[in-house]
Amino acid sequence: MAPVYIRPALIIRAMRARKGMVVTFLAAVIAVGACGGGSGEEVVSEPAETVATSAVTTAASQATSTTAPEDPVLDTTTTAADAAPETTVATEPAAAPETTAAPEPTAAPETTAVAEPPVVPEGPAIPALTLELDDGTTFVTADATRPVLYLFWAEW
Amino acid sequence: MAAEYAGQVDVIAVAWASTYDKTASAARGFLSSGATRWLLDEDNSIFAAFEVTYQPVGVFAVSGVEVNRWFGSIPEQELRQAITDALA
Repeated sequence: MAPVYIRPALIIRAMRARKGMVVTFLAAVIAVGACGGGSGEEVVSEPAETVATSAVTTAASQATSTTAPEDPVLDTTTTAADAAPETTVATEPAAAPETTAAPEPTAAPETTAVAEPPVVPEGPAIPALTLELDDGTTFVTADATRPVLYLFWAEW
Repeated sequence: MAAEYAGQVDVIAVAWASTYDKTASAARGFLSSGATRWLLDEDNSIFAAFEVTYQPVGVFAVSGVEVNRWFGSIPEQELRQAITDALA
């Protein structure tokens, strides 16, 4: 069994050849990854599945998982779902302030306009007295609510 | 006349310088309508408070303020006018 010797020059050549192949392979992988060639197949196949199921919730969950904003089908579903609540929320507060603000200013001036200060005649004030009358009642001059005629007289 | 304005005007007759029996007897004949209530000012304190020193005197008050005062007999037309003005 004779030993086989391989020349170092051949080994170096082989390594150089492998090294060049490795470098070219890595360059090819980087180029393909930068162009997105591998992910393009998945994006094309997934929209077809969501349209077939026609489920909005599943489509939305898949869209977030795949992270493919370029898909036109997913974009339309998300924009349609977002636009609907915006219009309903905008219409509700617009009607509420109009109805609440209208009755308040109309009721306040009416009640204040009715009140008028009572007219007090000029003259000296009647002395505040409590009179015990013949019929057993009490008359307080200061509490009189009607006009009063006081007659000062004597029986003779 | 007090009965004519009953419920609209209070009429209080304040008597003095006499006894209760004599004043009550006179009131039954003088204030017969019952629309005028009266009392005897035994200590003259009411006359003094109104600054009345003789009689008869009439004092007409509206809203706690004296608006008319008559010394002697009260002219009916003036009294009616005063009441009408007060009730207007």
